[in-house]
Amino acid sequence: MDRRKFLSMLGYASASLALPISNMSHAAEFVPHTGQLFLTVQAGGGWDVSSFCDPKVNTADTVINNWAVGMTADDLPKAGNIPYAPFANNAAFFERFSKDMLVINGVDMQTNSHRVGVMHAWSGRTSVGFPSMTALFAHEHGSALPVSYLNFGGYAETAGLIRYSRIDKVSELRSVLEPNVNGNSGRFYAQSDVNQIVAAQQARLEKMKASDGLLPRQKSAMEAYYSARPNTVALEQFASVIPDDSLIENSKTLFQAQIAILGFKAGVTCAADIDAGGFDSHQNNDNEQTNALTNLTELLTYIWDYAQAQGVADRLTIMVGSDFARTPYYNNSDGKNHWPVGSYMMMRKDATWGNRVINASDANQNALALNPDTLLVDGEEGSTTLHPMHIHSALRNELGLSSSGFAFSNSQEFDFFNAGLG
Amino acid sequence: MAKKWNVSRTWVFMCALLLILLGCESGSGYDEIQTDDSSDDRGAELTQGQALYQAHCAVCHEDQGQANLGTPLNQFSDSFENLVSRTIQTMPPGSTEDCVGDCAEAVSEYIFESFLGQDIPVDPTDPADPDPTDPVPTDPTDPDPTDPTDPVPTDPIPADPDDPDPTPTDPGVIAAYYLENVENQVVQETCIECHSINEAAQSSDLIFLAGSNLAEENQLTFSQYFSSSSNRYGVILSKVRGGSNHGGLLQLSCDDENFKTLENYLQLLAGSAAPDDTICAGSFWDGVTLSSSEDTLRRAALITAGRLPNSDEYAQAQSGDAGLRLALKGLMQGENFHDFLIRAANDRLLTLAVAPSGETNFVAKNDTFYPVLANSNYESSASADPEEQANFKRLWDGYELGAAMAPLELVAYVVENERPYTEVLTANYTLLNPYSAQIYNSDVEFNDPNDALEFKPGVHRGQILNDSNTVIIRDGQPRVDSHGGFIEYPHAGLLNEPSVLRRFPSTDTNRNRARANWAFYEFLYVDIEKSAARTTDPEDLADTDNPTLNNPACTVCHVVMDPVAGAFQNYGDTMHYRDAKNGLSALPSSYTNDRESEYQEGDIWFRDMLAPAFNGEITEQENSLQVLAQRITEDDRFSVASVVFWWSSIMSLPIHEAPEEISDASYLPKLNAYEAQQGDINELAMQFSQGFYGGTVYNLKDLLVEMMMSSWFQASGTSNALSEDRELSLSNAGVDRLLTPEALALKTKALVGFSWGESTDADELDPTTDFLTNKYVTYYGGIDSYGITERSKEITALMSNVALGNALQVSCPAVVADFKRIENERLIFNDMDIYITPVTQAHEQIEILDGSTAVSYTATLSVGNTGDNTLRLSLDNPTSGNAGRRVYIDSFTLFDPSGAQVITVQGEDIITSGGVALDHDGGTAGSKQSDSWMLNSGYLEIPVTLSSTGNYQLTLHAYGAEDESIDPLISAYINDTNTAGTTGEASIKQQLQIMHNLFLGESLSNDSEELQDSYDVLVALWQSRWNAGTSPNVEANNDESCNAPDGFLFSNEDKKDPQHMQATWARMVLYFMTDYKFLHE
Repeated sequence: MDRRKFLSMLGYASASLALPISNMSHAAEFVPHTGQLFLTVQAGGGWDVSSFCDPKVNTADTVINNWAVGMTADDLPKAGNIPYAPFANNAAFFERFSKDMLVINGVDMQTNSHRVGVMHAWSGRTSVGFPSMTALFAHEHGSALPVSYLNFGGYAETAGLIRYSRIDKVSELRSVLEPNVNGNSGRFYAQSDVNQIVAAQQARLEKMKASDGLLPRQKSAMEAYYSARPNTVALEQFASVIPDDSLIENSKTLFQAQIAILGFKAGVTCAADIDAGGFDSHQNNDNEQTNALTNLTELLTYIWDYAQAQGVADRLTIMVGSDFARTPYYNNSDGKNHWPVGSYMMMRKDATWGNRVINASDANQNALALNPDTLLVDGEEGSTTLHPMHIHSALRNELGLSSSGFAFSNSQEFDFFNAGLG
Repeated sequence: MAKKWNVSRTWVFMCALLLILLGCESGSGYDEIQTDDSSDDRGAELTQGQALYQAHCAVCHEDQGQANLGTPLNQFSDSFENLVSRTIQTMPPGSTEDCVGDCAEAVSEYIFESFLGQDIPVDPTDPADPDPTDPVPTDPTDPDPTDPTDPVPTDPIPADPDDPDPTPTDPGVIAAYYLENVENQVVQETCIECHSINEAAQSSDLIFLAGSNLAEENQLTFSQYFSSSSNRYGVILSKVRGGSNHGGLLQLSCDDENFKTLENYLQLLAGSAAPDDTICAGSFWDGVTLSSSEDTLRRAALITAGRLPNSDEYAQAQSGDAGLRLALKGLMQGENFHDFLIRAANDRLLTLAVAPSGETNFVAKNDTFYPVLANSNYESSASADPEEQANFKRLWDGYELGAAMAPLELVAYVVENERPYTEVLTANYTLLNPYSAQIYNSDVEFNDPNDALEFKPGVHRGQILNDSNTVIIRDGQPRVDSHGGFIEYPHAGLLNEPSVLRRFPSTDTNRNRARANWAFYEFLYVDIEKSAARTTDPEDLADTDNPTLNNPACTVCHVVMDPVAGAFQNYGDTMHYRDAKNGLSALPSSYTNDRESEYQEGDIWFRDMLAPAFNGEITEQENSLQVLAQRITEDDRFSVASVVFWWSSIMSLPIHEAPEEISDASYLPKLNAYEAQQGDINELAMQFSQGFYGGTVYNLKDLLVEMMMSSWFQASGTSNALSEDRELSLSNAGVDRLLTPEALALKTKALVGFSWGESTDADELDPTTDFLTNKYVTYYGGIDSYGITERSKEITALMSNVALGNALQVSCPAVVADFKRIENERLIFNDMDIYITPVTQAHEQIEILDGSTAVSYTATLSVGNTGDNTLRLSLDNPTSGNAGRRVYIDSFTLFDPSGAQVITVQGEDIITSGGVALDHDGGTAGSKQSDSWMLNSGYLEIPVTLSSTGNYQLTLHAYGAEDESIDPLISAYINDTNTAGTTGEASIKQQLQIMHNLFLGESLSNDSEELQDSYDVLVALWQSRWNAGTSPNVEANNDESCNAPDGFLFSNEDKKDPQHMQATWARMVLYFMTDYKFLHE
């Protein structure tokens, strides 16, 4: 008699019906994200847009940029319709991407504080409480995704809408994505056992969630864990697109971009913040900004190349910005201090709204007022100084995001993404 | 007109700017008038007043006082005397000393006579007597009827849609109420500290006059401010509670009598349009239930001591609040508490970023400010001896670790020894490890000179100055050939710990401001950036004329910050004391070498910044930071900052930020939470500074105890449903905080005896590591002290996978290791053996002695259920191979409690008697012998029907063959045919109750649904092995791994699992270790 028959005879088979919980079947439930993707590139510290996308030559009184000595505004190079500074080897970047690029200059960040500047740049207001654009996007486009919002250390206020994830070392990433894989082929436990346990825990947690008298903190924490768990298949999918260690980028910023794009490719991520620092050039501005801006253009170039290679470039929108800008003059340490009037740059492959510069600052990098009807600096009534909320408001519309609960106080809308304006 | 009020910062700036543009700094402009003694003549005075006004005032107040920016003077309704007084005290903004005396009178006369058409009373002490026929509106809030563009509603009282004609209260009643209740109790007592000229809120829209007998003026100011916008009622009451960007944070809470007084006054001002009392909610903790003392103690123990409480501690905690306090304080000792203090301090100070394993550098190995370091480097680099090079590397790394940890160890030293917590700033010593002691020339003796984690108090005498006495030879690596004396480092607690200075560096243009900002926030709980609304005026932001000293929009913060930056004057941009080339200061060469700078030989601080000061000037030069430290600890705000500093370490969440936008839907509930929390923080701070319950002052252990006694820590549920607003208000309160990776590692170790990936390498500076606190720390929401400085508060998919990884790799070895321990020393399974299964009715294990002739063994099997059962004889410890362990079963007989025989079987007849001999792979277990059954794995089993309960006797005739000097073990079972109602079920459920309590902190009753659910999970997991014929081993195949952790050794015997219960319990530990309640406390 074989063992099964014997057990059956003894009644053990009926006991097995006591199996309380079915195995999880999340494989069928994971639907990779195939919609829009969003990245911010946070040029932390305050970028010198006068040496980048809002180029300034020197005035009669002031050396704004050492690279501009002897130059006039007519000498500034232009890629398509986009003038740029001949600095930090950025010609190739502008020449290649001008058609995919919308530059918005003369944006008054209204502060020279890093903390407030960062918050203003990425949430759209100077007061706490609003989510970053990335958090809002992830909430509306991929709240169910397991790694919907990746943040690598930049501004990431979520306002309770969503939770962000961090990835910092690829050597551990695989084992994080596939915790039950032991070495090349083995496991620590049969996956069926793990699934059975997780399913039982989810059932237990579901009961706990339904309990009366929970505090909000408990509810939120329970919900977070409940929604975090059934992602085995999705995370294995993420693991499957992680290349060999030799193909992982060594540069911290490129690594961030690479992982974000791989998350996009796996369909587990829809939004990410890339933290590109090094712009706070109080001393030796030209050296510091050369390094930082070179890194920035290399990063952006890498993002588009890698996104193209991974097949996600067509769905990607990038928002580039910074806390604020740098003074249109040097200090005693050859540095530049903080200056409130800066820029944003939007990028999308073959964007209909690309190859445009909207708004301007004057020769001394003061903000000029923009006509919302024409997107021209024409001095017409109703023209107003641009603030981050105007950029956020327009981008929310462009990306199909709701402003419910987080509406700005702007009385005017600027349709930056209307190619017929400006 | 509301718009005009809203741009007051611009107005202030414009006035100040005008003064600057006109060269009207001290000594010019106004002074000329002040010194003009011939101004008795009214006409002359009016002319002078006009001149002054046009030159300095009209830019804001405009030609006819209509005030494009600033106060509309053509509507001034008070007395001439008060106009003079207000001019003296408020004008020009930022330099009120520039227009006093004749200047103020001349300007006021011009305003009074030219704009208001009023004669100046001959006796200025007489009340002004305006001409009743005067057409100028007496209500300063009335709009200018001639200004068609004025969009402000005519009625400044808060609009009430239900009351189309609000009736204002009699002004006399308002004034009387103000005088009686508000002026001294609220304005002079509280508001005036900031809302007056030259104080922190000088740029705000509300400036009072400080002093006595000023109620009339201040009431006017207050009422004008109130009337200037329709939302002032809510804004004022919000701001005093710390909301709406109030720089002064919480001043009056809803429970404060003065808050109610202020509210009454505003209601009088609003008249019949006064809103209902919707500003203050009911009691913050209404309906909130608190956790039991046992639960509180357990959470506290896991958080602060990384372990579970023992029974004595539980008993103490249950004896009442005093007992709980004692039990909580009793937890605060030992290595884990020390580590808790280090972690908590680092969460704020972040100096581990400069440790050798950190994200940024601390010190160059050839740093010639430290001759011991630089010269050791020189010698090691010149040496070909690998050992010498390794020794230097150890010295350098050990020093970096020692320096990175020094401020954290200082905090721990002060707390553990219950020294006054003020010493974290005032200590005139540092904490040294053997390596930093070497670099700092300290003569501290250590128990182990190679232990980088041994810290002792000592002083720093290791730095030299870069002066003419210092000779550095640069042949290859630099070497300090000779130098002057080592400086006696002026220790100011952690304020000037080199790692702190390095972690919070300065620049030539920042000039220690970031350090001042940091010191204000960490040790005074003053967020300077929030203390006054930062200007958004582009002209202010673009001001290049040293605006931090001259522009009121900037000085509002810099007047507070820059003097404290000055107290850091002796420290350079990185960390060295007086690192300038001459060794006399730390001023940067970009300043000292700048021909246009005001630098003079011998300066140690910038002349174009405010001098070092905090609560008074700091004239001490060499040790200005020590003076600052002392004064900070004497400031009331130090104790508040201390509570805030430690809040997150206990509560796992940062304190509430005051909401800023009153229009946000969440504003009021967030304000309620902020106010309640600030109130509790202030109360804790007050007791901290005075000593809790008569205890010593500034005892941090006592503070931590009281924080854990608070509702913020103990709130565990609500007795009624919460409104949406209360959900928001209570969002940061109570239990179920996600454990940090470090706390999870300690909890794991406390429960199972080891941490995930724990390993020890004596050659490492920090010999012990584990996966959660090192390898996966940032993946599990921890910090790297550099780029990631805030801990995750809620779990994500990736984090849940890390927690799963922890459980997957710990659970099985935890079970094997525990069953390997002798009984009573087990951590989890003291009352359980691995042979008890869900179907077990009775079990006894028999050791069968090695031999060649059958002997008789007996076992007593206690049966609780009658009916169909099985009798099983199972070999518990088989070994493989021909010479493996085996048992020759000659026969066995079962007797019921009465002694009657139930069944008797000859071994060789087991199959023909209706039984089985089954191996775990489904094959035959052993083989039939001529007169016995040889069992070398698996089991023999035969159905039995039992008619009574009680003790059954099994008689077994058998002999064994040992292997590896171990005799075979036979387990004799009476097994039921199902898993319910068995003694196995009872035993297993009892064990599950223990595990629910140990791992999850749950106390479940025998009949609880949760217990049954857990048992069902166990049965299902067990049956999946039992029924599948899985190999009787915890590592049954490639899909199972059960590696012994570091320091443990598992033999093949240990991993044997004849009843599949080790594997099943391993899965249950996995189940508990990934439960929500295991990860949250």
